[in-house]
Amino acid sequence: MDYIWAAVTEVFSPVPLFMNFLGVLIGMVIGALPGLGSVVAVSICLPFTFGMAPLQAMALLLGVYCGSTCGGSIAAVLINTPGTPQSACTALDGYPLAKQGKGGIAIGWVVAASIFGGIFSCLVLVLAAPSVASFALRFGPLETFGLILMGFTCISSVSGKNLLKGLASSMIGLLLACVGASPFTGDMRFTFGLFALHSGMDVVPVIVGVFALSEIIDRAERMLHEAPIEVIRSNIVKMPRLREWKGRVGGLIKSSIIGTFIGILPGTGSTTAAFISYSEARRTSPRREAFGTGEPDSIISAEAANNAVTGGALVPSLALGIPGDPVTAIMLATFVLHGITPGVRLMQDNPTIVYGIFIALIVANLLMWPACAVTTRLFHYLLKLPEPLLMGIVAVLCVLGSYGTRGNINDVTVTVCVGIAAYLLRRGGFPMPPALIAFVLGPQFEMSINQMALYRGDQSWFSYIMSSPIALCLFGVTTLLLFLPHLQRRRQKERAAN
Amino acid sequence: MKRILKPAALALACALLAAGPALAAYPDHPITMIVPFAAGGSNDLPARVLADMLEKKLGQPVVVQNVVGAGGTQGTTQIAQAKPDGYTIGFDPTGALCLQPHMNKLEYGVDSFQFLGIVTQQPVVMMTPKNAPWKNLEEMVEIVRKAPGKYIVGISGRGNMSHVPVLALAKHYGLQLRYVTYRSTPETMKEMAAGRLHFHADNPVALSQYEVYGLIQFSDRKVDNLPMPNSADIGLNKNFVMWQACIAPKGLPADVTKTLVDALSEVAHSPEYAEAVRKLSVNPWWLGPEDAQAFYAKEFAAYGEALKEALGK
Amino acid sequence: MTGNRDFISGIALIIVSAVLFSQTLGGGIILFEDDIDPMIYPRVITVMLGILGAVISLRGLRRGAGAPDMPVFTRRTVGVAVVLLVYAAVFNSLGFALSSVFAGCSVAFIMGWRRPLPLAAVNIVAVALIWALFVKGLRIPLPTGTLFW
Repeated sequence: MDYIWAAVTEVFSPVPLFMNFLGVLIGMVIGALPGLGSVVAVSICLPFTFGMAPLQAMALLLGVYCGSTCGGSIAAVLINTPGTPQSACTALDGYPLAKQGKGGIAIGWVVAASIFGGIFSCLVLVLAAPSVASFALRFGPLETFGLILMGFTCISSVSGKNLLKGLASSMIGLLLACVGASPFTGDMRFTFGLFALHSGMDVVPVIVGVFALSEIIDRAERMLHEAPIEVIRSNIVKMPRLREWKGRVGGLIKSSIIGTFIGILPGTGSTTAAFISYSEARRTSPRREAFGTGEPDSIISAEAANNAVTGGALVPSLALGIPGDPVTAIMLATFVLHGITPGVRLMQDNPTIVYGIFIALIVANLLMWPACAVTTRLFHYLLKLPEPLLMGIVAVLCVLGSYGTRGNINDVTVTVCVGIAAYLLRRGGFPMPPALIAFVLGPQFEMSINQMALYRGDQSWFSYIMSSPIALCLFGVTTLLLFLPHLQRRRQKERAAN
Repeated sequence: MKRILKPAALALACALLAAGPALAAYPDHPITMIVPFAAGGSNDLPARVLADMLEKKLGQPVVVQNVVGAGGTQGTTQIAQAKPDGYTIGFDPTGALCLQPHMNKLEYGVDSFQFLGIVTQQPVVMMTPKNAPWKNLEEMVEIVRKAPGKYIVGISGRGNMSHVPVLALAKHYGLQLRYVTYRSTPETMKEMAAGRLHFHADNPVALSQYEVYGLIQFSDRKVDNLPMPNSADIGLNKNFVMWQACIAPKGLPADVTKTLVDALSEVAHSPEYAEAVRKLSVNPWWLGPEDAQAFYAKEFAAYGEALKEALGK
Repeated sequence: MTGNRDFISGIALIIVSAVLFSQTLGGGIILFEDDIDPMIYPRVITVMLGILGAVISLRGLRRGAGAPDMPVFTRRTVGVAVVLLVYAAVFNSLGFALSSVFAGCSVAFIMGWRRPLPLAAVNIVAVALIWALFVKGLRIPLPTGTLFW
């Protein structure tokens, strides 16, 4: 108990608290710049932590982690350019709200859902880290394959009425993910002999191209056809009122669970969580028909999930010393640099630090609100520009963002070409979210298939699958998810006929 | 007289302007250090430590730029094709410089770089979980020999530094293992903790971070902080030592090279550097430019041979 | 959604999947003995894409032309697309600053902003701010252009 008290006093003492807030602010600004992302944000701050005490360093990095996810969503809502890949889904309903002049309200939903998701995952972390971590260990290639397959069934819900085109989009997404070195043998695929394509397609250039650049091309013409509505843009962050939460709390909790769980599995991160949570909401929300026009449910699902990953990823990191995502990998490296050994005995050897991290994470989540208000203010000035000028600058930011992630000049060409292709596909009626879901999940999907084949060895497929209750469960749920809509529709038709 | 004075003055001014950059002392603006791997990884952290210390010696910022892609080859290509003026240097490990060119057709080869110095080295270590049924190398060999094809090795890519050493060891003892590729070290370690994977060969950084211990280090000399047999002990005369070098595109001017090499050498010999990299479980080392260049040529050939042998099973 | 558009997009998909399928026929070089041919997975996907393309185009034929929609290729959309392509092409050779000012001004111009002075001013200031933030603040180097020196 004294450890907890010691941790609380330390986290709330001036320097760590200031570091926490500074981290959130820095993370938010860097996150808002398209393309850089949470990993770059954390690694930029890493050198500054060399001279700090461990808890201060962690407070800073945790702040940056939380802030960057939220910052990306601010850019997604206000200029339709997701600052981080995990904010891509937020743009789908956030930007329409901003166009109606309700940008501040949209960001209010973003902050509220993010804080809830983050704190939810913290609670899981604090209360159940070791047992949850050992459950996560049971997810090998077969189980991961089942999980991703389940994620793919969401594509049908996200495609709406265009199921065929949605499937085609997802095939395109899978093929895009194949460009570059095959993960297994290192052979180059779909590179057409160009060295530029050897490094494959990174998430950020593709997302920026699909969402932002294709939108700019589209806007260029659409501006002429739509009557310019003088919208009074209110960009002051307005938190949603309590009664607006009615009927949405279930979705909020479900998204937080999805995000926490995906955070716990090493190898998957907040982008996967956001997309899967969004797809699930698209499938089950009572207001799903309104998705795409500014429906808060969609924002809630994406934001709660992507922030819940922060706590979830810390579960295996603190309990087992195995990082749950690239950002926690850097945080664990920070431990090592400060002379603290991560691993199963971290909790026993350094209880103050561990409790300190729990509390610092909760504090960071809460600090997102004021930091968000400040950052939105900064954007407010940017948004006073007339649309053509703004679009020009957004185009520059997008291209810069895709360069900045990997420092790879070819990513610039990739983002432009993907943007043009996405514009053509959109005009052809092909929905984009399935393509992105498939693109993000594709590499892990292919890896799991290949790994499964190697692990199976000489067993038959049947006995291999039977050996894992978790896998059976996942396959069962997948089948159910696939056929449930059809059964429901048939029952509705029967009822209508009677 | 006046008629030629003006154009002459103009010409002189132009000449001075053009010569200006050459006259300014090196370095007079920030230097970029390209790291062909992701931020925060085992090839990036030592680079950042080095860059930080170099900055203080050179008086100009040394900015680390991560250029990720294709197993380190994208960034390495960028280093090879950069302008040799001393403002773009690189930090590269063995794999991208010695193994990759043998496996794929690349835009660089053994003659593309000027080595400024090799600054770290650590042998590849084969690791196994602490709760494995074997407690040392001999027990492991015995148990694995009896069950061919049962035990699985996690690798990070076919034919790279995590694969070839284990193949060599397996060939030496006549073991049959299965090799499964994983995308990142955390995933591999999770599979080891879960008991699905039994071996992983990598640099020793992971030893201090995860619940694993080292079975063997692939080097001919013993490193003092690695308490395990080395390949000489078991009669395997193959060295798989991962080193990281500070390199530059070929054709650097002599004075620029001297400034860089002197600064690097000072940093590499400093106790702060040694302490910082030891915390990262990496060993400080120093091979000056000529030695490093010759060493590289030998390594390049040796890895080509090792790969051919591993393939020609 | 006009049926004609479905027909065209379906055919386009068939062509794309055929091209990609041909790329997978090179055959993976199996280096090590328990390797799995890396071309099988993409091959299956290209085939599925081709089939989907065929179904979509047939459905488009059946439906026929529908309500007219905003044209896909107009001066503006093609203009923006070309500007972006040029931007990507010169990003490295002209350097970040010059190519970005060019791109920002061109996109804004195409989208209707015709006053040259504020156009140039806003873009130059914006690019300068971004450059300062990235290179000085975040220490992420940006290409400075290889054409001039």
